[in-house]
Amino acid sequence: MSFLQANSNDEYVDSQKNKFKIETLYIVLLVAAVDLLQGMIRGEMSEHVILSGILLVIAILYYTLRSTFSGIEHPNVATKKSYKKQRRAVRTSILTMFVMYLTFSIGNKLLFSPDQSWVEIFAISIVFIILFFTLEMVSLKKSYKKNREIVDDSEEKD
Amino acid sequence: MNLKLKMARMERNITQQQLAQKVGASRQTIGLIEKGEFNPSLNLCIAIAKTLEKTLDDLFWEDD
Repeated sequence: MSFLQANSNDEYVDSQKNKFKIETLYIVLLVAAVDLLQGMIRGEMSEHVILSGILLVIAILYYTLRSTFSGIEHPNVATKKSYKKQRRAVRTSILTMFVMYLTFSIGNKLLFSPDQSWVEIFAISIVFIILFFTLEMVSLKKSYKKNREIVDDSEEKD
Repeated sequence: MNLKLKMARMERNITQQQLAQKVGASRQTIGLIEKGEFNPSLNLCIAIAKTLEKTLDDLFWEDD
């Protein structure tokens, strides 16, 4: 089976195979997302629906963590000035997201889920935002550190 | 380490950031190419060579 074969030592063939593998992954994730959605809509949380949910969470988590820790998300942040500027931009965008998420959660409670407690709404929003903020800051710091290492010595580093 | 690229860039007195902007890449990408840690595509090599007014040989051919 060609899917299981190691690289062929041919650039074109290997690049095409990698492209097909990514397409395959997208199809698997799409099927899992559809399965999860139909399970949620019908209210049937059967084993395969839960499995689809786990698959999606693992995929999203893996991609997010790999991107965050590889330092590729802020490829132009290489000076102290640009780092501070980007840090301010991250704070602003996280705060905006927090307000939007909180507004959505409050709207959802008032319109569709009156039984949901206020404590739950605020706790979930705060945990969500702390997690997101931490990931963004780690990503920025990792990118900055990586970029500092490759910045040309003759260029201004601050 | 791609010293030829770094030297050609310095000859023209442009920074990694300026070169990155001109060729539509990031500063990180230019830095990694100069350090020899990333192999750019032929299209990116051509864009860099044109920007620095050099040939591909001048920038990327390995001397024995």
